[in-house]
Amino acid sequence: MSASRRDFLKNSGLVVMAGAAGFLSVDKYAQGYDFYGKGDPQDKKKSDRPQAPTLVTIFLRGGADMLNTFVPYGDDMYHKFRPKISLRADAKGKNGEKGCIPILKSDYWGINSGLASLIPLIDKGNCVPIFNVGSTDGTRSHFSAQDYMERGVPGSTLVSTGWLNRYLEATRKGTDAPLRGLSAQTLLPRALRGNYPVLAGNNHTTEMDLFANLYNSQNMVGVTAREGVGMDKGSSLEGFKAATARTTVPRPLNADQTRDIITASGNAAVERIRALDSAAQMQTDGNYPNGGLSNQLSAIARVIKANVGLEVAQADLGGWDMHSDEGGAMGGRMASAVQHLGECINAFVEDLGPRMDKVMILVMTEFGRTIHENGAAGTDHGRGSYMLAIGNMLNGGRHYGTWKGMGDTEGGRYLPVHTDFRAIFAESLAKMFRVDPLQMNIFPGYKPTPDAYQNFMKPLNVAEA
Amino acid sequence: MASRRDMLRTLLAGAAVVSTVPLIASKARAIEPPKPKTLVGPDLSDREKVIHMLNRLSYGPRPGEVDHILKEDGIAGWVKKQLSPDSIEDAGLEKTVESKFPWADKTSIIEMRKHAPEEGRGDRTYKSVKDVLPSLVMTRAVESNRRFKEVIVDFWRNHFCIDMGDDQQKSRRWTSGHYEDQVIRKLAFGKFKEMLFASARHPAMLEYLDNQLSHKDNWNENYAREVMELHTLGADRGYSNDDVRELSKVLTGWQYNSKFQFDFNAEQHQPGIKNWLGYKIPAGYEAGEKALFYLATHKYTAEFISMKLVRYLVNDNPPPSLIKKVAAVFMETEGDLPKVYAAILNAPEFYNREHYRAKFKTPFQFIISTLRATNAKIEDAHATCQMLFKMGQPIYSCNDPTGYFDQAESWMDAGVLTSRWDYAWRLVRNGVPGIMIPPAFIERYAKMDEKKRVQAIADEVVGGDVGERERKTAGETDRVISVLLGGPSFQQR
Repeated sequence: MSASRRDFLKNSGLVVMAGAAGFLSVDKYAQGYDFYGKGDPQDKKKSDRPQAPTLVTIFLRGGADMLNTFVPYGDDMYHKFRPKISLRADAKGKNGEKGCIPILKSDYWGINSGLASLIPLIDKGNCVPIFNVGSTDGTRSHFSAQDYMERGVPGSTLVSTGWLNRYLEATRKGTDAPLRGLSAQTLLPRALRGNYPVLAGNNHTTEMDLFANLYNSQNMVGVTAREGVGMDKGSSLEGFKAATARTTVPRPLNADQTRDIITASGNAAVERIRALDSAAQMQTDGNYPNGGLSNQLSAIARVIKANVGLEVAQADLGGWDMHSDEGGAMGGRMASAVQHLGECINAFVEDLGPRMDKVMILVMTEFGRTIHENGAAGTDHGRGSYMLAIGNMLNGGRHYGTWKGMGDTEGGRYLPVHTDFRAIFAESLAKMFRVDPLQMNIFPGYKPTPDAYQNFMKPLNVAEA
Repeated sequence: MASRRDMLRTLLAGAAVVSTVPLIASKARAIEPPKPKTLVGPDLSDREKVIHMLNRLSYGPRPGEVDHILKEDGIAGWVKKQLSPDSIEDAGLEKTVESKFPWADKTSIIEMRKHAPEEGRGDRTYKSVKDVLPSLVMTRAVESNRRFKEVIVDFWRNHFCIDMGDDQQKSRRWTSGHYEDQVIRKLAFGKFKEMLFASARHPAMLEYLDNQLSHKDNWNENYAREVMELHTLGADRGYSNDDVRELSKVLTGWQYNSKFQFDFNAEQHQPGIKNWLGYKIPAGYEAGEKALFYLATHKYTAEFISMKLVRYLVNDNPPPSLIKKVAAVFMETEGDLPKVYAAILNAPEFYNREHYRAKFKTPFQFIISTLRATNAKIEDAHATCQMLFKMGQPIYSCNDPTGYFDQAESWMDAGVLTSRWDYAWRLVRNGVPGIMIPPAFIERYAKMDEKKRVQAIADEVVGGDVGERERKTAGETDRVISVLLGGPSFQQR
């Protein structure tokens, strides 16, 4: 184990060093979360099972600006850099509103007044911003930056799977709950792509029963049919992997193996769709606004309430690429975008109530924007931005990340990246699910320095069934 | 080996080379030695061989086509014809293309732009083939008689992957149409180095991988990295980040001009000697050209391209012995592509039982084979191209310069099969806008008695080998056809 990983884990509070053995209580902490617990999953009623921890990621696509969301209004340089769009805590908008509202008991940090709905959560310590987060790779292409972030492997295209999928795959068990992962939109985002079957949206289709009947291991082809093929409950490509993992040069796939993969994948879809169907019966208790993110979050909330073992889910919100008309105190695109974000988050928190003890939202974006405004009262692609965590397990009341004032820039143009997004991802997985994401190689090539560790949250007590 | 040496000599001739360091260090990953192979099941029957051939070297049979080939050309005759696509009559498709896609055959990029449709809202419009290029690709894949050409063109489209840009980068909205025609289609039966060279100089690629932005003292490494990693040598094959940086310097000034013609910009070219792969490369345009030709004929390139081709045409886990044979042909012929293809198509192991139905159709292959199997007529392919978006494989919109992955595992989202199932149900009931299945196709089966009907549909539409439960599908003809198209057997090829 590398020194940096040891430090990271030690700092994360998950590991107590114990001699040469390395980990103490390895099986308690590094085995992941087991929804069904011990014994036969069929014996347990849904209502008896403890609520699964759920990490909900919200990806703000387009590169969201940090400085007009969390506003260093106490820094003169900020106003100098953005003469048209800077937000002031005292300025009056057309209806007398302020551009930003002071937060964190400071006369330096404010929050865009469109996002004022988050202030009660921030004050309660259930919402923390993390500043100057981003990628170690300096690309300013949306698609590369989003891809790197969702893969959790900045700068490399060699790893094609997403970090959330790798978590699911690394903790896969024979008796997995059917809906451990979910994308609330029709197209599966990269973070959830990979070997572990994850459902994108509701792919409910014509004649599900007939589909289920055919995507079944009993539907064998006569010529090459084999006997005794069991269908792995809630899972998938296990047999296929075992068969090909034996030699260093994989044998060619034959028709039977390919059919197994296809059948298992169809079967996994059926299970997940049915679980989602039953979850759709749950009631919605939040006051959701209209709009795309709202539907996604309320769908995720229903699945959490159905208690079917959801662990990771992603929702997406576009429209953050504000090259023009980003807006200041008088409205503009940023104010309405963050307002929608804030209302959706509040509705979700209200909807889930005490369940938020085990649910954390992590808001992220692919990069931040230029510190200067451009000629069209907008901002261009930059580097560092912010993340936002919401949940009842946070070490709240402050911001995280490293902020050294507006004078701290990359090349005089961008906010520098002081915190690698993988540090936040790794801490989230480690403390939500009690796993060791570094040992599981969920972030290939990541070697965190000890100061990468933020300690922005407390570890969940994973209930034992 | 001789050709590689010659290539080197050519490379060195124009360069003030003083180093004799081996070109690529030996730490590169070697391709594993062949393992003994065992057949699974008996040899393929002639009929199965034809089905296999049509599933791999075309997008699946049309109704009645298997019998036709058995009676007429035979396997060898069909393959031979398909390897010379220009000899195959294709007037029907050419007429369709001329009338529906009048921009498509313009060899001048400016002419093509003139004829391309407009995109945009209100008065802010710009030229764009965003909606029509995918339709053109799909129409050709379904309707062309040059069957193998369409299959192999898709391979290269994916290998030299670009996308159609977004509304920030508008020029690829139409240069991509020219790229498809003049780089991918035109050169797919030429030499590999010609295609590499044409792609390197095309405005679409120059923009897509940022070489257009690569300037003196401020070079951009994107193209230099991908041309080695994705287009030629393969990932992790012994070159370093320094080599990427140096190649990007070699290629500074490779730009297109305001007429969208390639135009070496000497002012933006990085002066001085570059140290690339252990060699000293002088400044100037020539050096860049030689560097690309060197990459195009490198042994690792031969291995990498052969591996990808065998994986695409034969098996997800490509047999190393076949890769080796094909790579040898690539080296001997300096990447003469028809000869490379022939080395795979004429290899006896191509028809090994273990490869039969061993590939999982990609969404594109599923859609095209479905339209072929049902004799569907395409009026407007747009809605179906949108379906490909949902299935994760939109045409010319891959998120990634790697192109789409070719192996079954990469396509196994849990929802992937339900969307195929859904497409089949809608298609058979003429519920997909712009596509029509001729009534005669359904009626022929509707007249049969129920038992014979399932059998006939299984044999003719799916090509036999359907599962026991699929074979028991009851009900109306359209129901049986959609179940068999959306069921597991038809997903295999």
